[in-house]
Amino acid sequence: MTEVERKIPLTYKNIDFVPFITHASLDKTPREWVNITFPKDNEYPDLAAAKFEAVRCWVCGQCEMSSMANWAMNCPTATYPAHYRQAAYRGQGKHMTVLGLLQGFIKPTPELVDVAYFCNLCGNCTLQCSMGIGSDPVVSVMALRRTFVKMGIAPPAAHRRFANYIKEYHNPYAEPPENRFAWLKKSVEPQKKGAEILYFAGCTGPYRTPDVCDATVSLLSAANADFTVLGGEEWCCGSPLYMTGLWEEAKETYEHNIAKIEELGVTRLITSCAGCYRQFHEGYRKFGGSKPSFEVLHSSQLFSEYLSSGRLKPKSKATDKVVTYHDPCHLGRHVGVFDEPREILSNIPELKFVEFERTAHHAWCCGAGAGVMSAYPELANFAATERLKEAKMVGASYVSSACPFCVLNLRRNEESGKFGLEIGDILQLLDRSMR
Amino acid sequence: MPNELVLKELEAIVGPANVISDPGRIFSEVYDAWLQIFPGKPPKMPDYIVRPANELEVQDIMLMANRYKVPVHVASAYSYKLPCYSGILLQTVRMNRVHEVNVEEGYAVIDAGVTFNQFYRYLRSKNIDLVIPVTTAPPNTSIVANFLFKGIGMNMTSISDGNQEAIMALEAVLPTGELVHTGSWSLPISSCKYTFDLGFGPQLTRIFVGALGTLGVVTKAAIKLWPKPKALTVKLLGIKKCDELAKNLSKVMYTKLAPNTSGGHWLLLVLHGTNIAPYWGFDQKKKLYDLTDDDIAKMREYYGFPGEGTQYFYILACTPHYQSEDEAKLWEKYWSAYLSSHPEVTELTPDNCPGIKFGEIEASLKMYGGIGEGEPGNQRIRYCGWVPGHIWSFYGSVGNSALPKLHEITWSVGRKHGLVPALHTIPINEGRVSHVRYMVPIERGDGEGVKKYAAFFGEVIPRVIRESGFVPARCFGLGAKVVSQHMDPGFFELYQRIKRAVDPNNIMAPWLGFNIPFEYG
Repeated sequence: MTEVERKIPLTYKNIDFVPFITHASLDKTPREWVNITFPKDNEYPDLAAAKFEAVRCWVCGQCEMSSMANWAMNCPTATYPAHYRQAAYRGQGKHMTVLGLLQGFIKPTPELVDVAYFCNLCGNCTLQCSMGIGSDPVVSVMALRRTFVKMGIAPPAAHRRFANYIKEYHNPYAEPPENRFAWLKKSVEPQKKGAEILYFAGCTGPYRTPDVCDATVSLLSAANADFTVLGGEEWCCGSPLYMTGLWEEAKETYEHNIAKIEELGVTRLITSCAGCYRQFHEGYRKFGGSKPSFEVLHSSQLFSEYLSSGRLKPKSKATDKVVTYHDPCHLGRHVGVFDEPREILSNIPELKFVEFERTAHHAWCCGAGAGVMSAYPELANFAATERLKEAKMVGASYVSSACPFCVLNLRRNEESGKFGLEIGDILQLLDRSMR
Repeated sequence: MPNELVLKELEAIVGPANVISDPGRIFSEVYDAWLQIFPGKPPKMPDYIVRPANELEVQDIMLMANRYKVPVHVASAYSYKLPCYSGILLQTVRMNRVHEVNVEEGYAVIDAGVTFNQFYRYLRSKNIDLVIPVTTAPPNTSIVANFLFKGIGMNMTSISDGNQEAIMALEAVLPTGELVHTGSWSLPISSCKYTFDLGFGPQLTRIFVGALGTLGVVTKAAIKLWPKPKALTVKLLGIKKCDELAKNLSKVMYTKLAPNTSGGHWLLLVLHGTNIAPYWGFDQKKKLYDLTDDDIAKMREYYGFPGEGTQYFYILACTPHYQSEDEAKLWEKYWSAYLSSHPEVTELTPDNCPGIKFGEIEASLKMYGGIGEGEPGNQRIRYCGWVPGHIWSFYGSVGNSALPKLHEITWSVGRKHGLVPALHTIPINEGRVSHVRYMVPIERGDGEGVKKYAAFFGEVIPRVIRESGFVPARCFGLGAKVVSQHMDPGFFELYQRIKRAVDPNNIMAPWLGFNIPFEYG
């Protein structure tokens, strides 16, 4: 892989103390020496988890930027033109909303529900704050969403809709559940007991970007991996439900999947979807229960391992285009997987690669996640367009990622070809290079 | 009081998306949780927040406000929350265009809402190697607002770090809606309209400096730019006594050991030794204000600071700018000569202070400190030593020679009340004055700590004003009361006359300034 000369230098590579966020949403407990009580504690019990975070906010507003990507704006909601730099829409505002509710200074309104849900939960705010103060606005957002759901004033209608779809069809797209594996051309025995690997396809992959699933299965076959799929027993991982405050529903679908996978006795679960990966990676901490008996891997981790061990040997150039890599939030910033996708790309012969300016820990969110694509398509489109503009700015002609949801949103905003960019998954490039 | 007619007019001027009327969203903008005691009183809130895009919309807003006699408070991102009791909060964040950067003549013309980070990204994208004076502001704050904000905190002003010198001319909308240009910009055909602050008659640009929006809305400014330094070194100097600190502050400036690239505006941070945990590496479990003399002694031992026992220790962080690496090397011998002739100063190094994370501090100073790289803000250094909790602080200016007296009073009063007032200072006005901030950490929600601070504050403020000539910044309440007892009455009178002349309806932030009676109709 040759690195194309950057137009804008990455300053973060000069610093060796870049932290990544370690929060795991709501499993933090307040420190024992913070004993603040508020007048409305009993009225909003679900805000208790956010208290410790919110009281530490310094109101500096750095949550909307990236300190190590040349101080670029890095919060999609605070950059969105109609809400440009409004405090309510950046991390600081979520903390202030929590404090305002707990002190009785403000009451929940439809606009505050909007404030809570007009957010990708990308975690840039948490990262920026962790570099100075260390409060976690994501915890405040999740607490607000949960509170509003319990009050019956949330989630937005679009989220209720996909929640019903997940209940009925086991996917948020209202697609027939029997079509989940319709894309699967190779003969794979579903629910094979004792297989080494369970490939969890997710929802967006099979129903919206089946080419990503194709590439995954093709690579598993090329590596002679012993794998199976859940077939008709695969339900939505529950991540969209969890992110939108519908925790009971999320738990139900998550536990169904865990039970079915455990029955098979597989040792590893892999998925190509960053959202599914994070859900399985952290689910037992969110929903209780014990850690799954199987190892949870993102496909980039498995295939990076296969490349290192020689099980996969790329042979040919995958593309002449200049490739950049978009870090999915659920894989990168939230969990810390940055290297493996890049290792995959670096194994592809003669690949020309360039990093985004806002990359790795400081990646700009594609805009799709946490229910935004359904309820606020204008924000999802804005964020994706900004990312595509950034790709052009750094000189890329192919945008790769490691999440079908990112790929989907970026593709939708490149549909008219206005940026001249090709968008795909890193596994598709790897698969091409195997031929 | 909210007024539907006012709301409709605002929406007609700027568009509905740029008017915020929901109390929950307004709350997030105005709530100053930094200073809040929990649980506390509700903040004063404007009825509406309006975000104009240009000076024409600002003019329309001011004309409307005069018609309805609605108070208007102007702010940029409003990160520095002066009280806004009602009416309209006018935010300049959408006025964020860089109109011109002239490399040969070293100036830029920018909108009032252009932020430090935005401006630096603009300069980088054009490969322009110029910088603006550093401030202690966060990078996402307005350049113009910071340069103008030297100001009347209720009654008194004292944040004067020389940055106002960077403004050479400005455009403003008066409270009555007229658009004015100051300096030579008042003659639009002038060839020095952006580069010469004197125009015709009095220097009217300065009327807006420190006025905190009480005399009009600044919409654009022509600011100075300086060459970016080519080399940077960081020197950490340990000094035992405050009077020695003050003397060395002056000497280092006058002997030009630490030259700068922006006319005297460079950052020296004096970090009182107890400021340093935990960021600088000392891992102590106690709440900072529970530290005893033994703890301070242990901290000294841990870091290897010069001095003995609980004797206070100071670190002077110097970040000289040089025009080349060769120049930086040349100055090293001058530094060596200075240090050998000043035994009261010890250069702190990894050898003699193994507990300090030098690499991290240096990287922070270079990257975040608005120094060297020319990056804005210095959040890490500013928050250096803060433990999770809350900091109450007071700040202002003092003549350099009075710094030891100020510190002696503050420290002794602080310790008497069981607090640890940590000093942080920046030299301003070419080293003649110290802009001082005392940080006093208290845990959030700790009622006892708050009482201690209230007692400390009540005692220390009158004393430092009277005994060391401290000029408090952002001065409300007690500080304003003390200062007003000594203020030149002619100064009040002059301000009030100017205010009445430019703002006959008293609509621009009537609760700031010198308490001219306000009637809201």
